[in-house]
Amino acid sequence: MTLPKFFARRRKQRRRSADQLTVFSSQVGIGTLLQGELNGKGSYHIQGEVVGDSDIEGAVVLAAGAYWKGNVTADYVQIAGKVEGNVAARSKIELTATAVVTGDLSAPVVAMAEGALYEGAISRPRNTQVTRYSERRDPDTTKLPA
Amino acid sequence: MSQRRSLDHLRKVPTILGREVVYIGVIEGRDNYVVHGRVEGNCDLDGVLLIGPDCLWVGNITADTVIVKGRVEGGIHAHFKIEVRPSARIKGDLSGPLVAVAEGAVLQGRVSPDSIITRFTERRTH
Repeated sequence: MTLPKFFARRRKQRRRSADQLTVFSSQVGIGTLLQGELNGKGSYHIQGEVVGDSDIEGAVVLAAGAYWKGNVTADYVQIAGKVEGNVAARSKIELTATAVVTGDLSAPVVAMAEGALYEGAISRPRNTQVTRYSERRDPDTTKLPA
Repeated sequence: MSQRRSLDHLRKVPTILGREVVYIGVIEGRDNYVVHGRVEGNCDLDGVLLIGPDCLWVGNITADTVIVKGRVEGGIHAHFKIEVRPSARIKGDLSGPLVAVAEGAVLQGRVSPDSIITRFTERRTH
């Protein structure tokens, strides 16, 4: 591999916000149901079910198969599961190809993969930048740390 | 390798609530849990629940096995065993077939009369 190519590849692998997440301070496993208000700091990896509202200082990653009913507010939100409610992020929202969202999205940057479904509006706090992309990464490399 | 403590058998923990989590509500599920943050509410779990040393739990706890290292204000009911470690502070009643209390733990409340109580001194460092 030539050197410029190597750097180009490196740059690409750091573009998604999830590339910068290595360790999650909180995880919600499959088969767990949280019913209530989730607040606090840190990064959250959710594979189970949450019913309620959240206000989180940090990242929220909803894995494929996860279900969230309620409003999500966080710094960064990545959705691969199902959400019924409004999603607000202070920096970025990413919908991957498996995402299903019923509700409004509001963030300065919204990135949507081809195949993501959403019903609702994208509100624009200050000219929301909507990026549409098709998933070219190998599913194995997009896998998050367990 | 020792096998007597409940944590020695713990293989996988799919749900972890971190230090800076504040959760108000109900938790239900069927696997193992570790909580380090603050929880207000009740839980009903099929699995092991570990309450970390910095945790404050206000509410009633029901699980198969409960290991307490932090603070709990509320009753604890275990289907199998309750382990109270030296750093634990519990304000509430305990009920379960087996209750193990370490020297140094603070317990304000009653232990149900039909449980077998073991007292132990913590000699492990972890």
